[in-house]
Amino acid sequence: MTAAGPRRGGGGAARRVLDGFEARTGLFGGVKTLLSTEVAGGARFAYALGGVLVFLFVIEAITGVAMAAVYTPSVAGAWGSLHYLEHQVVLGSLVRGIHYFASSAFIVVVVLHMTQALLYGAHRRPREATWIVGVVLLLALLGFGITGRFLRMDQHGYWDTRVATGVMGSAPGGDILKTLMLGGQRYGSEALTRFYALHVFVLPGVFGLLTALHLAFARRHGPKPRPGAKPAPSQPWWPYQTLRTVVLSGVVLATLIALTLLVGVGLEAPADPASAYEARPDWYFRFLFQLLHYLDGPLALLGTVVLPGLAVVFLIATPFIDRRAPGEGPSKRTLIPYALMLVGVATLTIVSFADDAGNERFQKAMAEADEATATAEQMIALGGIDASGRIPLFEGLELYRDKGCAGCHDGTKTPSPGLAGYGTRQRLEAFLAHPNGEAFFGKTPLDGKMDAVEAEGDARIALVDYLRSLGGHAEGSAASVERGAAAFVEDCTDCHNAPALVAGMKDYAVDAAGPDLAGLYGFEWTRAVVRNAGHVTAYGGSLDKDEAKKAMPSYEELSDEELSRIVTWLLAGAPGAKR
Amino acid sequence: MADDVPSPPPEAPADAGRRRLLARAAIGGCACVGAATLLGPAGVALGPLFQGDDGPKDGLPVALGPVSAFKVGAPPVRVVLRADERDAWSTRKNAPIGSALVQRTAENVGRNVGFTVLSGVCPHLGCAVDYRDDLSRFHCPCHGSSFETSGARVETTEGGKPNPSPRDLDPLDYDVVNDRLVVTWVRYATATAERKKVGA
Ligand code: FES
Repeated sequence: MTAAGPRRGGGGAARRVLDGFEARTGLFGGVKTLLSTEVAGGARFAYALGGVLVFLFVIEAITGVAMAAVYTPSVAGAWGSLHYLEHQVVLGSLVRGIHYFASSAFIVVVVLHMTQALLYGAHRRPREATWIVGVVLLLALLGFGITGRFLRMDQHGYWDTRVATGVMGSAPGGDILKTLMLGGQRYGSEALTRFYALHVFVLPGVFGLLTALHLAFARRHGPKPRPGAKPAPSQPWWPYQTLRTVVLSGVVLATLIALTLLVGVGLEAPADPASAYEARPDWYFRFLFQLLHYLDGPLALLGTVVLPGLAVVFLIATPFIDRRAPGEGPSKRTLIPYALMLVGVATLTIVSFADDAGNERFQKAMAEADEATATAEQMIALGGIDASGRIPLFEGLELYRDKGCAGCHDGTKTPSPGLAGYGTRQRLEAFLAHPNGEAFFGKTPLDGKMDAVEAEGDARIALVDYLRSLGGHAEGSAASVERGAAAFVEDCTDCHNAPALVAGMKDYAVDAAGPDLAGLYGFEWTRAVVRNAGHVTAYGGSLDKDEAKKAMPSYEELSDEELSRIVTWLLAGAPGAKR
Repeated sequence: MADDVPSPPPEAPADAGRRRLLARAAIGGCACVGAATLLGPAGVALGPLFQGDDGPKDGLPVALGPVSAFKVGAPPVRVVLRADERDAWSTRKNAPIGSALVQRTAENVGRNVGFTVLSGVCPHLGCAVDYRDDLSRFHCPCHGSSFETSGARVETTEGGKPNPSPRDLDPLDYDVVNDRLVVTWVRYATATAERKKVGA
């Protein structure tokens, strides 16, 4: 097929329409001219790198738009929408994976592209402008990396951004830049929407424009053959160079997909500003991170401004530092600093990763972060994400740990009931069978205060049905509940108070020592118990003064909301409780 | 040249001055229209430089629970500070706004007496500092800043490296109200040797 122009043959009418279209728009001719650009010295895989970069930009744009169809740029929505994208949207994780790995591939290919240009002398006269625009493109690329990470709003993205912007803010004048990027001083709503605007509108616009310039300049001068290459006849871009570019792009895409499937991007637990997280930047910023390890105090300026600044100035000035003629081989004046820079960056990167690999504490922290992520996943599976973007069960569990509940209930040092399965029928059954077992009252001040229930078979099921019905869990038939109620009146009312739920049954309002069971394992009942387990209507009635001192303290300082979160979590079976 | 546009007559020399004038007017016009177009967006973009901080108000008192929970002689603990928070357009109850490192130093407690209360934010670049019992020091996991339990910056950190932190940990004011420790939360700028409030 020829590159452009109306196809031959076919009906005369169609031909006339196409010709007419071409006469008015010139599109076919334009495309034909573009595609038939001569590649001096013939097509090469080396020239395909630029094409691959264009391809990567297109990939990022397309996957980015696809993600934007799901992603919600708000503090409440960001993490949840990404979680949804990652786990529920059809091929969502593939799209996100490609987007993420393509950004890494971008960096790799840009460095290859630059190195190749330098070796071929493609930065020299008359291609200086192409080179300089290329350097600016590299900087814009890093901007994508910085702004993209925060959008995740997970622990990793959040803390990395805090450190990265912290570095920025520590440079002279960087404070202003930081304030502008964050829209203030905090890493909240406005920071997120600003990063979003930068990542999704500003940077792509700038990047696209610069790419267009870069391509226009590159086309003006054509590719630069390797110095000393044997003169060879040139070939048109289509199809000789096109094929090579497509093949290489295919390889790159296959790699991205493989990485997505084999490694994946992952989403850590939601950002928690109060947590202690070991922040590490993405791999392509690791060298800077490591550099700052060595340059402290007054030297920090060297790492944050001077060295990176010098590197950028050097790259921009490369065409002018290099004094050799366009056709000559690489110049030592540019190649040596460039190589030193690459080696330095690579060494710092490797050292940084090696340091972490050998750092037990870091490994432990990472394992903890993974565990938090797994816990968040588990809590979402059980209780979902609410409209304000919170994971109720995860927050309940965190409060359980933060507020010191876990200190007793998760361990066995201070005798206390385990909470796993709290509020479930199974646990109630186990409790009735062994109230003084280790998981329940055993060794606590309540040890021995209640006897095991002896009823067996249907009678036992009936009793449990009745007790469950008190908190609104209609699990047994009306007849069974009634039977259980009768048994309860018979055996339990010496100690327990419970309302008459069954028609015709007397309302037993005895002044009982044991807990009032009205509403047992319902929301309000559980709230009251957590708030003050020692109250006379809870467990306090059966304890004397000394015993009460050893019992669970009251939690008056919990706010209503905190209490509700803990109870919601408890009644979901206390997932994540250690025992 | 398109075939349906008649070719214009050559420009008369007298028109040159007029042309220059119009060119200037066009440039000025572009500048005015451009500036007017950019005014609003520039306001949005640069606004934060002129706007006060919208964050959790500095000086926010946060109750940390009963003083009896902190024992003299016990190692410092890291406590999460929760408070109602306003973030741009939204408010959030009981949001974690930061953390404090708390150690009780005396039985006798009162306003700024009896405790060491430090901000848990690393003065270096803002990571979260935690207490490490193996070192008996506060330690920042990010770049290894290290501090005595008093908050004083140590010169060389674990591993003999110079301490990246430019200053001591930031102390927070506290008081004891109804037997509860109440801390005044303030955020300080990072990476400066001098201690100054964020946004100040
Ligand atoms: S942020 Fe703490 S040492 Fe750098």
